[in-house]
Amino acid sequence: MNRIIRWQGIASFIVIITTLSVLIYLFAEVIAKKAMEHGLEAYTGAEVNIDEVNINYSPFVVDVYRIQVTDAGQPEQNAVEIAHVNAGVDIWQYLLGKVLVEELRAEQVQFATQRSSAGQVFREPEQSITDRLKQQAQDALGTEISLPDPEELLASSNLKTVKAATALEESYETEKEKLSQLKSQLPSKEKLDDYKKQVEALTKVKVKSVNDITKLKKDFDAIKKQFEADKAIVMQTKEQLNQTKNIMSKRVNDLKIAPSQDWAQIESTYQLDKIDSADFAHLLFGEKAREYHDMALMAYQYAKPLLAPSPEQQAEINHAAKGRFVHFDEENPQPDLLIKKAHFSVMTPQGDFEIDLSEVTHQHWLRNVPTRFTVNTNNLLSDGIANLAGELSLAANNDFETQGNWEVNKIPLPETALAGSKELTVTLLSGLLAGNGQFKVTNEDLDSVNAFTLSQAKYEGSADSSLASAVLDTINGLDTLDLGVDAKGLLASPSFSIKSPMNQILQQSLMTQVNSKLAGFKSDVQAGLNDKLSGALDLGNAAQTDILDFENLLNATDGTLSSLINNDVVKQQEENLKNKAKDKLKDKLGDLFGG
Amino acid sequence: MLTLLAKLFQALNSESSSRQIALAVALGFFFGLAPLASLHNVVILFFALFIRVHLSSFILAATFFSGLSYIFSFFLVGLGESLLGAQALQGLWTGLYQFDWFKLAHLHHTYTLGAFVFGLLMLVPMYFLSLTLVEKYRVSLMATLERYRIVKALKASRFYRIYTSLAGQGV
Repeated sequence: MNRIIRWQGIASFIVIITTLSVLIYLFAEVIAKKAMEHGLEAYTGAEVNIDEVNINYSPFVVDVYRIQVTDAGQPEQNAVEIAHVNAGVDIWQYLLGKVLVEELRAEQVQFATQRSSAGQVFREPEQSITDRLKQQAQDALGTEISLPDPEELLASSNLKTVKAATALEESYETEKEKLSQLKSQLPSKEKLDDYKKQVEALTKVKVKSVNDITKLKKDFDAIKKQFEADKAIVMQTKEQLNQTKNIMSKRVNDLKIAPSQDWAQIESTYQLDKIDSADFAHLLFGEKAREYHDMALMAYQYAKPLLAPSPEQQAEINHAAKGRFVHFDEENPQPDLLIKKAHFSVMTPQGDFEIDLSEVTHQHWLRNVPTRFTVNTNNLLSDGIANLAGELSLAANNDFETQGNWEVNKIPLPETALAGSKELTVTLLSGLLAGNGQFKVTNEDLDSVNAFTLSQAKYEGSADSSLASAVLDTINGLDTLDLGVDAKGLLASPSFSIKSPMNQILQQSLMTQVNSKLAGFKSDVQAGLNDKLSGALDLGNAAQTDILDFENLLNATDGTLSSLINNDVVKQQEENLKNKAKDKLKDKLGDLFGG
Repeated sequence: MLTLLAKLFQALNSESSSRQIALAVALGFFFGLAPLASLHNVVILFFALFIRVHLSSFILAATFFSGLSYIFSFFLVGLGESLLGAQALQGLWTGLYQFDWFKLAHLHHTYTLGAFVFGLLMLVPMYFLSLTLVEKYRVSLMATLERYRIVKALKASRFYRIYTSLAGQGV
């Protein structure tokens, strides 16, 4: 037995295990500090410093003092600095492969604090989050409301009126040329008179015999061929004339409707139609609403992969972690990561925020309790009060839902550019904001209803037009401004509806001041269009007169030729010959019978 | 490390049982594969100390295979993934998952389970492979090596002084 068993091995085992336990106990804080720094550095790509880690074993509580995470984009400052983090961890669950934090508190969370020395950067950042948010905001800025110069507008060769007038002119020239060519081929008046004389001469020929009739018929057929050839030219010309009439008629009609089409296009391009029913609240505040939405969306897009990583992201995490825990069904299932309570005390230049969370996990379906969050501050931008409360949950099939409500009061608004175009710039110099609202996001769908009241507002701006001046004067005269901002639809591109009594006030005030200006613009443009129209129509009328004259000439020529072709000179002469023959026969019979 | 190597060579060249050395290498292999702080490693350590195996060989093998395990971790993680993800084994894992010792041993972790299963499967083959190598070394290679100049040069080194100082001490 002793050849196989080494009894003193048990003692060695106990000594080794005890020694290891003592070493772990003694160096746990140093190991934990290094592990946290190393882990955070791997995640952020920049130097992380932790002043001290204290571990209390009963209950198991970890205290971490002064965590500084270097901003990889600006190494001389910290992206975030936390004075103290306290976490009560369930050590048994941790040994079983789960992270269960009873309570997590982070005090004095600050952003962009100055470091005593520049931190090391291990991985160059693509772009810092704050820079990206600023870029996003800048991109979202700027609306153009401008009335064009009527003269420039009318000089545009893209106007349908101009195009239609040019088309009419070109068609007129082309058709005129065609008709002129055919006109030169038509028999002249002299020629027609000559034809008539020839026929008349045939009428006066004295026929004495059938041979004379045959000769006369031959002569008439010879000149009739000429009549028919000329008649064919007349018919061809008539056909061409009909085509010309159709083309010119279409050109004139196009020209007549072109000004109204141009005006519709101008109204649509310069949104003049909307000035009549102007959504001024949307013009002034729409971009701001979009801007804030984009910021919120970006924050959501950063947070979403942490809540529900895609299979590819999960695979990447697994690879980085060198394996993963796989959990199976159990009687009392616990999430892989659960923070029952968390409190963050965040200090920013805009104010101090108290953030409380409960049931923080990415597996809400296991305990069937959503993550609840509240954010409160009472010194937002000095005296402002803001409260946000809501909850979010993730289902096993990755369905995501969050909803909540918010309210703000007495928020002093900083100087904010509301509109910035060539004609109108409006800057909100100061004001107090109050408001409340609800939001609900289900997967990719957003439904949010919000109401704001802006009071003690002062505006500054410049206006190049009476429209812009009216906007400025009106909003400066408002004591309070109520706004209803609803956002519904796809989270990435919701449709905004901004309602405000300001619209009616502004419309009433504006329309009197704006109407003359707008009407002036309308009349200038329409007069210009009408000038173009009438000029071109004069040409059209001249063309019509020419066509009419030509048509009369054609008809007259046609009539003369038809009359000549249908002339019965041969028949008349035949009748004459017959009559002469009858008379001669009567005379002979009278002589014969003594009559 | 030199001392450990010397001890290994001393064991190989001494009358120590080939089986003790082979078992030490096999246990060291099993120990080295898994993450250091896993529960089954504590059990292996207990056996390595409790059963008469050649400890220096155990420590050297554990160190060597820890390095190999780090390099080939993707294979062990993949093995664990496929085992824990296998539909046919879901009932088994779910049953075992109800026991705290299973979770405490982190056998529901892909790396640990992969290392455990691979180590367990290769334990016996590794034992016989080591046994064969030790015996072959003693029968043929040891006498041949003695004749090489490099071995003679080594005998004049610090390593050999450590080796000789250990001779006769046993393990």
